[in-house]
Amino acid sequence: MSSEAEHIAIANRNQAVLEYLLEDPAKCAEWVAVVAFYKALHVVEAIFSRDAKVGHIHNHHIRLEKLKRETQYKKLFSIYRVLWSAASVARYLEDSSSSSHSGSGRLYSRFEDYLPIADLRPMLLDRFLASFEREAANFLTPSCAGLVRYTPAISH
Amino acid sequence: MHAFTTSLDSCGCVQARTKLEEVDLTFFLILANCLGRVCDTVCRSSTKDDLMLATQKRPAWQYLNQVAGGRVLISPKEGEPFGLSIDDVVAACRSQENIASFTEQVCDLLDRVAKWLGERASEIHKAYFGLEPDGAVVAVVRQDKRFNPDFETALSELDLSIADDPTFNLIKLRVFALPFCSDETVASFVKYTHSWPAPKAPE
Repeated sequence: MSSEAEHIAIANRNQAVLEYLLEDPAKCAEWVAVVAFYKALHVVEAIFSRDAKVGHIHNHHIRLEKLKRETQYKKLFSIYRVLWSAASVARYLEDSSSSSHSGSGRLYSRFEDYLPIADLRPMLLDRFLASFEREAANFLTPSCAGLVRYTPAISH
Repeated sequence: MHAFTTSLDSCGCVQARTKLEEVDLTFFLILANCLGRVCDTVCRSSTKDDLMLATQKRPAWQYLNQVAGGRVLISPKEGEPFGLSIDDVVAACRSQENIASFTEQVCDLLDRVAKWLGERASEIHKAYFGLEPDGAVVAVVRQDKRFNPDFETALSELDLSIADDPTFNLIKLRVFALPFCSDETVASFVKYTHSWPAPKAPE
């Protein structure tokens, strides 16, 4: 089982990738959502590694269930679920029938339909990743165990 | 997986048995249904193997005999009745003893979700329900394609409120929203058995 420090190290690598992707988010916007989620996942695992009652979890659904059921993690759950959901859309949503509806423009056809580049930071990262990390800090060792936190765009 | 056989006994009660364990599910399946929401006349044909139910008001759920295994017929307040395989139900509730209570909770869950959907009718295109081995899944397809942080937060609150409600103690639920997309696309996310039509906005 990996330790808190090991999970935080992986989360920090995800943060480095996130920063790289955000230099030109139009290039692969969907991966911003995916990497943000995986960063959060490793923060959750870092927290769980300190919780003998929970321990390491290999499965997305069980991890969500644990966050939801353990009273102290409910706030984390409500934010993490949104990051998971957005990453699922980014990775797996492909509407093959959308071409037959071209012109109507109502059906999802690409990730930017869902999260336009201009909304990526304010609507997903600033609102959910940043608040997730703020909340997660309550469960990590002091100084967030060395977690490199996402800096909301507004503070730039 | 268990192979179930069913028959009608002398009292007209359905006997459901697994060949492996000879567990009589009658008690669990019928009694809990009676304790639940089945209040109206149930006419049963004793001349056929299959349970024939003619009701003035449909029960919330029924156990149906099928040659290749049992099915639970769910009749939600809103939408068409739909079937769940008994194997899926057993997998999702992880216990034969809890089948009846679990099915009752699924019926209540459908009502609860329908109410939530109704309150957000203007934002929702359609919603889907499926039962997977690790629990129940609800996918909500929005009217538009855009990510909506407030809607997502409300969905998290719904998820948490159901998890906190002891009425649903047997159900593990996963909910998520999808941008406006086709039924086929939703099917790649959830093997659904039921969908809610576009809810009508309150007048």
